[in-house]
Parts: sequence; structure tokens; C-alpha cells
Amino acid sequence: MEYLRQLLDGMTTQPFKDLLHLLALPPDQLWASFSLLAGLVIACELVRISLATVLTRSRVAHVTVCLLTFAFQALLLAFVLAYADRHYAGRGWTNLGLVAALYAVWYATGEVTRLVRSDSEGADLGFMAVGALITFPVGIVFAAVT
Amino acid sequence: MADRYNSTTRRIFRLLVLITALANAGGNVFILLFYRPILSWVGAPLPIDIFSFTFVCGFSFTVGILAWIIYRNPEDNIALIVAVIIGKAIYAAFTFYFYYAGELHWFYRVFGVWDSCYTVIFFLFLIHLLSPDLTQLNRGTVLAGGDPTPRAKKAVIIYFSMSGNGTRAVQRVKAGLAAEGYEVVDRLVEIEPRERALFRFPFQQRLAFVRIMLRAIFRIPVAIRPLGLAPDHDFDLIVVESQTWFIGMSAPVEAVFLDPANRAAFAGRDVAVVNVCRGLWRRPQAMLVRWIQACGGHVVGARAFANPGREPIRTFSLFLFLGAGGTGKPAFLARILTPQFLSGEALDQLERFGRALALRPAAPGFHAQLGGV
Repeated sequence: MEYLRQLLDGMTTQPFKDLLHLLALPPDQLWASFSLLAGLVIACELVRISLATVLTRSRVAHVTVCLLTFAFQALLLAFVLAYADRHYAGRGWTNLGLVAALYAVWYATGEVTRLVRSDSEGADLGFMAVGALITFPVGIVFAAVT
Repeated sequence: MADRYNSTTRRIFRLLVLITALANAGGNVFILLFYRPILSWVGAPLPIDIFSFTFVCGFSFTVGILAWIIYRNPEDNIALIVAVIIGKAIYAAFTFYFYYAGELHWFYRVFGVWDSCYTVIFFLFLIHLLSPDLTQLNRGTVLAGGDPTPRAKKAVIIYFSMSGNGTRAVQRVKAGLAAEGYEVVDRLVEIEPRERALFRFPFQQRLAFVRIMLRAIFRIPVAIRPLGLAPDHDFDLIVVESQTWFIGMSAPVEAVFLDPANRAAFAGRDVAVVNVCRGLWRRPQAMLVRWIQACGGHVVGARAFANPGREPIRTFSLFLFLGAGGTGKPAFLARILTPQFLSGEALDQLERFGRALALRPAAPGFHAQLGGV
């Protein structure tokens, strides 16, 4: 028990706190926040497209593909807009611009796959638009209110 | 398949992989030998923990060796590509984390940028390499039959359609087959009565669309009535049509393969695949093709068609179509809504596909069986 207590007491959570801090889009670390979110958005899109033709009977893979089609990214970016507004009020419109740029990165990533594979579907602008309907209203409400 | 190995895309990717193999493996040996002068030149402090420094160089060297193995034979090392993607992504992520935390000299960020780029490059190479058979089929190629028995010129089309889009598609494939002398039988997949009401369009049950969507996401099977296709059936071609249901094949068609009693009907037979969708067809097509192959079927052709129209209005038109239970609703949006059925051009292509399937080359063993006639 003593070892377990020591183990838990010594647990390092700082990296996760730092990452959460970056999700607040701090004005002095905007480039770091953008890099982090762009990296995530790019990874999500490439994983989605990579999984399209493999693990076809895996339920986990299928749920992952469904989530990465738009839900995960859209909800993450909506959370970022709300969280950033709580920590740095008055930057809502700037943050919306940043998130719009991330949607452009997301779209570009999907489209790039067409260059390496003739039968790639590329970015799904339709579901991205559904995602935008989740993300942007949240950001607009926070930007307008604060 | 020979084209695959000679493609410019593949050559470029292999060259990029070779560059990182040499950079990672050779570069890290070089850095380990000369880190004192190198770090001095760029103004970086000497490592405080030489063990960690050496360990990171060793890790990076290992990734270089993995890249070399991938360079030698990419197609047989898909799992290694995934491992290298994870390795490079983690290295890049940690490098940026410590750089932004202010604990790392800019010199190390160069390696972070390098590995970020290579994470994307390896991802794209992976996407290029996966499931090449589907790329070949999607070019419109109709492969030689795999069934060496003499052809009865009889085909069966297995399909399920709620809105009628799939029905239109299979009717044109049927017309193409019939034009080349095939006798074609439709076999609509029938849902068991206890679940039938949920899958009726226009939707009649409350939240039917949401329930079907959630079932599609979590791949919850639907009960269907027996297909009635005996293992010794006399059809020399089976065509299976499936609509996309939330990025997967439609549940009733998947149920055909989930029932072990149906699988023998596909074993050793020529099978063609038709996918119809709003926009996403790759995964549903792959699911269908892999099911058929798992049952021992020989996939001779696969075509996928999306409804006409531009995004994102096409997606919203679909949702309105499903919600309103018909096209052109609500009336005030009718002018901008996109069609919910395949275009005339797509249907013409499906008819040509049917003809091509009817004329598919014989199985290699067929002429031998006829005594070389």
C-alpha cells in the first residue's frame, strides 16, 4: 500500500496540464497551440483515410473512422473555443479565425491524399460542414457574449 | 499489378524513405561521434544526461533501420510503416513539447520538424500502399473469372434498397447483363418482420434515422430472412449491391455474410460489387469486398457511385431527404437541393459494367477443362 501511495503521490501530470493550457489558446503561445491542434487535425484525417480499407470487420476501427469523420475534430475545436474564451475573454473572434484556419488544414490534408491514391475520396466537405455547424456556433456565441 | 511497382508515386516515396533511413541511421552515428563540436557550432549546451542523449540517438538510429527495411520492400512491411509513423510522431510531439516548454535549444527543433514531415510522408505512403486490389478494381477493370466451371449465363443480384436508389442501380446492371445474354434474377434482402418497420422508408418509427445511424456506427446486425441461395446454385455470377450506411455497408447486406448458411453460396464463385452512396464509398466497398473474399468468392469487378451534386449542399440535401421522406422537401429549398438518385451518366456506366461482367474473361482453367478448345 505504501508503495502504491508513493507511486500515486509522485505521479507527473504536468505535461497534461501544459497541453490543456495550450488548448486555452494563450496569446503568448498561439503558434504552439496552433501547431498542436493542426497536428491533431492532420493525424485524425490521415488515420481516418488510412483505416478506410482495412480492419473492415473491426467494430473498434469502424467506430474510430466514424468519430474521425467529423465528430471528434468538431467537438474538440468547439471545446477549444469555449475553453479559450473562459481563460482569455475578448479574443473570441481571433480564436474563430484560428479555428477556421484549422478547418482549412483539415480539408487540405484530406485533399492531399488524392495525390497519392487515385481512388481516395479526399476530404469529406459534407461532413466537415456538419462539423462546422457544431464548432462555429459555439465559438460565435462565446465571442458575442464575452 | 506490375504498374504498381513502377509507379512514379511509389518511386518518390521509396526515395524519401531512403533519405530518412540514411539520415536517421547515419546521422545519429555521426552525432554520437561528433556531438561536442556540432553542439558547439550551433551554440547548444552539451547534454546534461549523456545516457538519455545516447538513448535518443539509439532510438532514432533504430527508426532509420526500420525505414531501410521498408525501403527494401514496402508492400511486405506495412506494420513497420505504422510503427515508424508512431515513432516519428511521438519523437516530433515530445520535441515540440520540450521546445515550447522552454527546455530545448532550437537545434533540436530541426529534428522535430523533420520527424513531423516524415510522419505525414509515411502516412501518405501507407495510404498509397494499402489495398491495391481495390484501386485496380476502381479503375473499372473487370478481372478474369475465377470459377473454372462452364458458364450457365445466369446471374443473381443481391441487394437491399430503402429509398430506391440501389434498386435503380441494380436494374441497370441487370440490363447490361441481359443485353449480353444473361438470365438475371433479383434477390432483395428481406428483413425479419420484427425489425422490418424500423427499416421502412419514409421512416415510420420515432427517431428511426437516429436508431439506424447508431446501429450502423456500432455495427449492430439486423435479422434477415433466409436468402435461399443453395451452395450448389447454378448462377455463374453473383452481383452484390450495398448502400453506404454511415461509412459502412448497409446492415441488411452485411447480414447476408454474417449468416454462415449463406457463405457457401459465394465460395469459388465470381462476384461483382456495386456501391451506391452520398459521398463516402471506400470503406463500405472494402467491407463488402473483404466479406466476399472471406467467403471464398472471387471478386471480378467493383464499382462505386455517389449521388450527383456539390458538397456541402449534397450532405444537407441527404439529411433533408431522409428527414422529410422524399425529394424536393421543403419546397422553398427545392431549387438548391441536390438529387438523391444516381445521375443518368452513372446509371449508363453501371449498364456498361453489367455488359463487361457478362463478357469477363474466362477463368484460366476453363479452356484446359474443355480440352483446349
